[in-house]
This record gives sequence, structure tokens and C-alpha cells, in this order.
Amino acid sequence: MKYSSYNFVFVAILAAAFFVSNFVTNNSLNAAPKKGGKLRIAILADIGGFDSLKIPITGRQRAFVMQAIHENLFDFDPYTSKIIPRLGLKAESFEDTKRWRITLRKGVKFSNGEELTATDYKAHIDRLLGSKFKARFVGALGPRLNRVEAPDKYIIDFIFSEPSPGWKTIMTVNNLLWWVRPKSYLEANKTKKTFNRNTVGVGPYMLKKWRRSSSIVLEKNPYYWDKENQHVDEIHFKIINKQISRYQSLQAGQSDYIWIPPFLSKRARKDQRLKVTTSVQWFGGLGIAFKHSVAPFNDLRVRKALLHALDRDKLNAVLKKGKGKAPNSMYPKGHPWECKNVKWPEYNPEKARALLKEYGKPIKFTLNMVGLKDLLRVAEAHQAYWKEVGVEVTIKPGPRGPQWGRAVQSGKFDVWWENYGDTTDPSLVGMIMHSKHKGNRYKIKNAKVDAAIANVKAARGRDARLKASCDFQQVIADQALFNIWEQGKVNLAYLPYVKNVIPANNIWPKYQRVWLDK
Amino acid sequence: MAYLRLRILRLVPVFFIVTFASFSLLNILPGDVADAILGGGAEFADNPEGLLEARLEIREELGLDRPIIERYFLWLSNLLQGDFGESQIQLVPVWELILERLPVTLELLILSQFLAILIAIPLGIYSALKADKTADRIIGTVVFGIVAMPPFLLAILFVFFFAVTLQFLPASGYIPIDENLSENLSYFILPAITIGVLEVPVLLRVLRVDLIATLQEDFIANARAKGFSRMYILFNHALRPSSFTLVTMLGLQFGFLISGTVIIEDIFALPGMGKLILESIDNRDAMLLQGAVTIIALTYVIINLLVDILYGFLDPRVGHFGRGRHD
Repeated sequence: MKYSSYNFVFVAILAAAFFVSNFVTNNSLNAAPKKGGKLRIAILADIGGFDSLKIPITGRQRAFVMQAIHENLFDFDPYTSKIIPRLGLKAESFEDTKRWRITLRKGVKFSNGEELTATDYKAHIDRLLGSKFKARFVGALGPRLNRVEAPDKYIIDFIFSEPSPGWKTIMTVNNLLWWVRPKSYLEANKTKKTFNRNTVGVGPYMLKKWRRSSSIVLEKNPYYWDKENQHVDEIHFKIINKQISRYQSLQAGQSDYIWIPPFLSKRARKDQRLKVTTSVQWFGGLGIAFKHSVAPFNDLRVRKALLHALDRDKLNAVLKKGKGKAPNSMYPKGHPWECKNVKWPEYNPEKARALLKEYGKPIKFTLNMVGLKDLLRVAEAHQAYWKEVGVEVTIKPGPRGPQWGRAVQSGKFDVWWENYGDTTDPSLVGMIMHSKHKGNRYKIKNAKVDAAIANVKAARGRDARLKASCDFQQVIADQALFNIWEQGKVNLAYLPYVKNVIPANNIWPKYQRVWLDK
Repeated sequence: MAYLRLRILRLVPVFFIVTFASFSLLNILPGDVADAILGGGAEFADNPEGLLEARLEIREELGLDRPIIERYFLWLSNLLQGDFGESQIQLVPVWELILERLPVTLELLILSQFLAILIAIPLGIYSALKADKTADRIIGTVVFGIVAMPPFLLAILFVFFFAVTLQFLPASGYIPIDENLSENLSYFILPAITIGVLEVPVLLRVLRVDLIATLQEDFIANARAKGFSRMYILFNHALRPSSFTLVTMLGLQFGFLISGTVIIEDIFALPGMGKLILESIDNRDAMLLQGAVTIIALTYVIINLLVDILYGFLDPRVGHFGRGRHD
């Protein structure tokens, strides 16, 4: 009897210990964030520098690093789809959204201890808009930013030359417009050679060390205003140009957090040592574009036939090397402006043949594609589908990088691989398709398209804007303006002790808010 | 000294040919540094004319609108005054960038060549002594297997095994030698082994062939007749005259690898000269490329000069400095 009661007590203690340990383990996910530690991130390329007049492109890697040094006025919460105040407390629009007035948070300090004021924004943006890259900066800001004014120490006015109803959302996107430095620092240093090698920002971290082409080390900004969201002591970026090497550095435990391309995300999901978070990216998609000013692409029957000839889900699967589902609008699934009911020309080779027969002339063209293995595979799949309906296509691989962009912009191609731009807000999406737009590289002259764009611009209020935007997407499909075949996702892979991994809302996940549970 | 002067004089046309060729070839490639500065142009989508205007302005500012000959001679005249120019992309003096990168490559090369010699010489000697026997055939088969393996594959396999699976060594990255010696070496072990292992077959085979030929010479038979031991003959009589091709190969490989380790540097994320050249070509950064090419050409010639001098020590019959066949 005595023996069995001891036994009972022992089992009870074991059960209690198991329960308590299990409770503690499970609840550590929701436990208070731990402070300290070093977050190691492997990035693909160096940042070039900190002066946007010397490096006039936002750049994926550059922006990734800069978002920890600087901070936007507003932020987008990917969980609630709400816009959250950060450095800006309030955004009000006037003059039919041609003027946006932002009230700044008081007491925010740069990493050199100076207070952030509206004049810092004005000095920074005046410098950008007064430079030879003005056209590039205005282009990146959506609907024509004209100038900024600072009527008060904490009030900044953004003035546009046309209505900008989506400006509050656009302000949440990380780009070089928001990499503001103190006016005094700018004035004192902008002509120095070292200006491109260092920076001062209001973000949670500041530059500690930059070893070109090798590593960047950030440390805590002692003056950061939002200490609750500043957890790790240092962020170490290791520059590893090869995707596979970056991935291996994560597997080997020498990096804590990386973003990975789709082909590695599948592998990462199967790896027990890693965690993966995937989110929708707001930054464009891939497709095949036509030059509408030349035959046969100036004929709707031909464009429609070319789309009916394609099994777009299968084409999407070719790119993903797995299951595929082609998008039906320029906004990806899960995007705040997603259009759920757009009908795209269905896969119907018979219909395609009939339309081509009606057109009556043989169709033969060159498909220009960036010479990357995966893209060429998709081009070959297009070629095979089009061959099925009697269209003869030659694939011409082209150069990667800036030369490709320049060739596309110059209107050199009739049919080409298209990487369309920002999808943050309807005021940015597809606007270049308007017949009078200077950047209309598709050479579209279509009254229905112009009317749809005018409706998007005229709409006010979330519901009206969503309707106008989705109507425009339907016009794109009906007029077979181009073939959308894929929209990107942002895949993050990290080690299990990395907590508070926030999905990216555009292409830059907010690694600066993570904490380490180790 | 006359020989040394001759070699240095030969450097002059080599320098002109190499630097002008790289300058011209970079100009033949589509696009220029203005494209790299402006990116893909997607951010100019709203206003393509703005892209063209900005591009023209940058070209003018960098002098890219001038004829290639004029630009080349301008670069040359600056170089003769000790000015390597400034990287058009990174906006940093070229010399500063080279000084950052060259030590990385040199450390990688010294370690890898040391490793290669450490493996190749004993194996080469053993292989020559056991010529056409089972051991020699096994060594031959293994080294040919290694030769057939692409460097990137070997590198990835090493990383997978030693870094990812065993977690003994870092997968990739770099710490400067003056920051932490042990960490620095840990980052170099895998890349050095990769290059070293790939060098072994060539060095081993040339040493084996030369040694077999030397061991059949009359003076070796004479030494044997005098009753010297096999090991004594090998190390005191045979090895030195059999090292000519080995030394030549080492010199050539060292020169080649100064810029030829780009794949290994890329996989192991080592910021060396190979990567610097690749980046400068990608960005069409002519100033940087010219600076790097100049340094590499100089290093190559100096190494070959050192190899020539070494010949004189290996075989006194090959004299360059007042004795031997060049007298």
C-alpha cells in the first residue's frame, strides 16, 4: 500500500512537471519579447551607398537595409490591412487629394540626437526633386509629386499636380523618398566624398560598420522613439551573392533570417530546422506584352486568339515547377485591392484557331525574353502552345539587367517579357496604358482603356475605387492587352528562435522588429 | 641584370595590350555604366524621356561621350601620375577598392597552393616510385576523377558536408585577418581546400612524369652505383631537376588564380579580386576594371619573373645573372 502511494505521488509529480514544462514551452511564443542578441541576415548584394543622388535607385537590397535605418510616416499592417501611424500621426487630404497634410509625431530623434521636423523632409525631398533624376523620383512616387511645404515645425504638405487619392497607402512603401536625414547634416555633408558612405536616420538601427561587398553591421539607435519595437542589439548583414550559398548559410546556422526565391521555399518547407513565412508581394508581376501599334497585335482578334491558345495555369506551373494557378488581374491574391471576379480569356485552342482564321493572315513573331533559364523554359512553353494553333514564334534571349529595361523602354520589341511595376495602389497600376501617357511602352491607343483609366482616377472612397480598378482590370482582360502569367510572393526562411516575423506587405519584410528567443 | 631589364621591358607592351584590350572589350559590351547607375529603367516607367535625359547627363559627366581612344589615354596619363581613378559606381578610389580585395585573394591563393603542394608532392613522388603499379593507378584514377569535377560542384559538396551537415566550418563569409585570425582562417579553410584539391591533379601528374624521366637518367644510375640509398637519391639528386614543370605550373596557376577564383569567391562569399572584376564588368565600371586588370597583369609578370629566377636556383645551368645559357 505504502509502495503504491509513493508510486502515485511520483507519477503525479512527473505529470505536473510535464504539464508545466509543456505550458511554458507552448506559451513562450506569446511571451514578452526578449531584448538583445545579434540578428544575422544574408543578403544578395551590397547596397552601393547611402546617397540617393549617387545611387538613384531604391534597389531591393539597399531598401532592405535602409528600412532599419530610416522609417516611413505610415506603415501597413499585413494582418489587419490597416494603415498605422509611425512618424506621421495624421494624414489629411485637401483640394481633391492634390494636397496631403501630414502631422508629424513630436519628439522623434535622429541617431545623432537631432529632432525630426518638417524642414528635414522638405530639405531631403527638395534635393531629390531638384536633381537631374527628378523624372525618376517623380515616377517612383506615383501621381506626380510637385513639391513639399513645411508650414509648421511638425506639419508637412505634399503637393501634387494631379489628384493622388492613394497617397496614404503609397506612403507606407519603403523607398528612397523616406530616407530622410537631418537638414543640418545634409547641408554640412552633402558635398563631402564620404557622404555616400554613411547616413543618419530615425529608424531603430544605425550604421556601425560597412565592409564593402562583404558585410554591414547596424547597431541600436539610442534615440529611437519606439523602444518597444527595438529588440536585438545588432543586425549583421552578410553579403552572399549566390542564392544557394545564402540558403546553405541558414542551414548551417550562420544566418538567422533570409528571404528566398520560390524554388528554395519548397525545399525550406521540408527542412525541419527551418521555418518559412510567405506573403503577397505588392511589387508587380510577370507577363508577355505586345506592342499594340504594329500588326498583327493591333488587331483584337489576334491578341484574343493568342490568349485563348494558352493554358495559363499550366504556364504558371512551368515557372513554379509544380502546381500553378495563373492570376486574372494585376493585383495578386490576398492584395488589399485584389479583384476576385475578373474573367480572363479561357484556354480554348478551337476558339483561338477560329479567331486566327477570321484574321486571315499567317502570324509569325519573335518573343524577346531575358536569357534566364527559368524564363526561357516558360517562353518555350508559350511557343509550344502558340504552335498548336498555327502561330510561329521564335524566341530571342536578351541581356539581363539594365540593358533589358532600356530596350523595353525604347520600344525596340514587338513582343517581350514584361515585368510590370508597383501595385501598391490603383493610382499606380496600369496608368501607363493610357494613350496619352508618356510611358506607354505598349503603344496602346484604345478608347475603352482610356475611359477605364479615367474612371480609376476619378473614383473616390475605397468602394468606388475598388470597383473602378477592377473594371479596368476586366477591360485589360477583354481587350487582351497582355498576358499576365505570374505574381511574386515574398518567402522568408528563418531559424525557429527568430520570433515576431512579420509578413512583408510589399517586398521588404520588417526584420527590424524581430526578437531572438535564445 | 640584363635579363631582368629585358623582362621588365617586355612588361611594357604586355601592359598596353592587356589594358587597351580590356578597355575596348568593355566598350563593345552592350550598355554602359550609366545604365548600371540608373537601374533597369522600371522606375522611369512614368517618364521614359526622363531616363534618356538622365542617361545623357551621366554619360557626359563621366566623359563617356568622348571617343574611346581619348578616354584610354586620359586614363593612362592619370595612371602614370599614380592616379588609378575612382570607381564610377562605388565613388571610391580604385586603389582603395583593390587594396581591400587583393589581400583576400592572396590569402586564398597562398593557403590553397600550400595545401596543393602539401598533397601533390608526396603523392607525386610516391606515384613515380610506384609507376604503373596498383597504387599509381589508383592515385591516377582518383586525380582524374577530381579533374573532371567542376569547381562549383566540389565547393557546394564541401559546404554541404562540412558546414551544413557537420557544422564544423562556416558555409560562407569573410572576417579580415586583422580582426580575428582564427575566424579568418575558419572562413578560408573550405575555399582553400576546394582550390587546392583541384590543383593537386595537375601538379601531381607533372611531378610524376618528370620524376620518372629523371630516375632513368645516367646520373641517377651513377648515384645508385655509388651505393646511395633510394631516398637519398630521390631527395638529393632527382627531385630538384624534376621540379621545373612543377614550378612553372605553380607560377602559371598562381597568376591565373589571382583573377580566376571568381566562382569559389562567389560561392564562399569572399570579397576578392575575382568578384571585384566580375562586379566591374557587370556594372561596366571601366575605371575599376582597368585598375584591377593593371594590377593582375603586373602580378602575373612578376610571378613569372620570380619563377624564372627560381629556375636558376633549381638548376645552376639555367643562369640569368651572368652565368649559364643566357650569357
